[in-house]
Amino acid sequence: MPDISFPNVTQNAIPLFIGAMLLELALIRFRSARGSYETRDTLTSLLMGAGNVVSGILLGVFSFGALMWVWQFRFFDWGFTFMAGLIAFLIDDLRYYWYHRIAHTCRWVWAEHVNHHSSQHYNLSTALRQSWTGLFTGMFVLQIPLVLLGFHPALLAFVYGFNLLWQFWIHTETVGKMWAPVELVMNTPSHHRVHHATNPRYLDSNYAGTLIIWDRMFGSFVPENAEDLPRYGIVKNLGTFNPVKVAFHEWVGMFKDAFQPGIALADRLNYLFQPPGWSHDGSRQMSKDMKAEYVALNPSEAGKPGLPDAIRRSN
Amino acid sequence: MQLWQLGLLVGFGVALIVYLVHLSGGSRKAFLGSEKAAINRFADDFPAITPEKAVLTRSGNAAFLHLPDGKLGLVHGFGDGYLTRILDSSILAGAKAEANFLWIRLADFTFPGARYEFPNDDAAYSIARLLSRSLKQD
Repeated sequence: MPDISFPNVTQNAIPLFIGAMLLELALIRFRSARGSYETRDTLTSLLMGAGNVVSGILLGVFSFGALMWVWQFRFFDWGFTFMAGLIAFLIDDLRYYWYHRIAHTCRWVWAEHVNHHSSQHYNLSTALRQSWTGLFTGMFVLQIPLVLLGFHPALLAFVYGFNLLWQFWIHTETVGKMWAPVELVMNTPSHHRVHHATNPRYLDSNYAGTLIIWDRMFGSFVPENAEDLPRYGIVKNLGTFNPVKVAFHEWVGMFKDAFQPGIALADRLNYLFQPPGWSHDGSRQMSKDMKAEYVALNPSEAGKPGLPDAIRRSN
Repeated sequence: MQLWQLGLLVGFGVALIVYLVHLSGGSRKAFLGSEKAAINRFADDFPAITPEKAVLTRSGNAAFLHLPDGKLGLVHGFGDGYLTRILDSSILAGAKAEANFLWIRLADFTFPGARYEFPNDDAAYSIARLLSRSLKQD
């Protein structure tokens, strides 16, 4: 095996992140661009980003080590050519789509991902509000098929860095809709604003990392609607700026639910693996319930992108 | 990049950006200003519930809402945004009024409670009474 090392794309991009945030802030404050920054919210997002770097350094070795162990069982070896990198990037973007979709539909993974959505603002600092507990969910197993197909774990880490770099700049309100062909193929600020919104029509949509084609292919694409501007955050917004609480609040809530007295084992497991909002007594709402409620209140919206066709009525 | 360089860069970047956000007006607090604004904000999160009326706190950045089922809702200023809660027995852990102040305690990991100041004693005590009634239900 060749002794190869790649630069850490996201760490090397930190000066770019800082410069871009300063530019976005200036555009918002002095050129009336759309968007907002709040002091403590920004601090929390940036500390979450710093914590993510630390957690990556401390814990990333485990997932990387596991993938390196799998590497010995590969069926092919694509090497380290530009073409191998390009193909790895595309397949890994598809892997990211499914990881992200699972993260929104399975509470076990949502517990680590929710903090990225916990800001009520949508700006470049929100992009850096990243998880500290990604390794705990075990979702790195989705990379195993890529390793078995012959893409070296170091190459996968390298190309994923570019995926994250793309995802950074789309966390902004200062960029409106882009040129139609770009909107058709790429994940853009408009598409990703939809993903971060809590409006019922936008819940559980636009999971793409770099290419929006995955959402179009798998039926999760919802376009931004100028008449229903995104409201950012989570459906039950947090009451803390403490990054430690932000990082762990859903884990705490999830285990509290799963270990409450007097429920069946199946319900305990459901609290861990059903979609966010699931409850054993039906007292909470999942996103499908919120969409149905929205359509019941606004019947003319039925069947529009992101919303169900009709209300199911029980006798 | 060496670890100390990374730490220095991150620390400098965080400090610079947060300071500039603050300097450029990023520390402004949320302000509801009117009962209607409070009801509208609550409706964003609970569109199926129409509050009957809202009672604003003295600072105007929080409001308690009388809901049709006798429960109370809360719109609480948080930074320049808001969080909303329905204050029923599943979340409420305690409520106490003293003069024109109201303290509430919640079973909520990220929002364990708060103190609110009202324009008069009556508002604080009547909300505390309703909250105590919610606590005893179920």
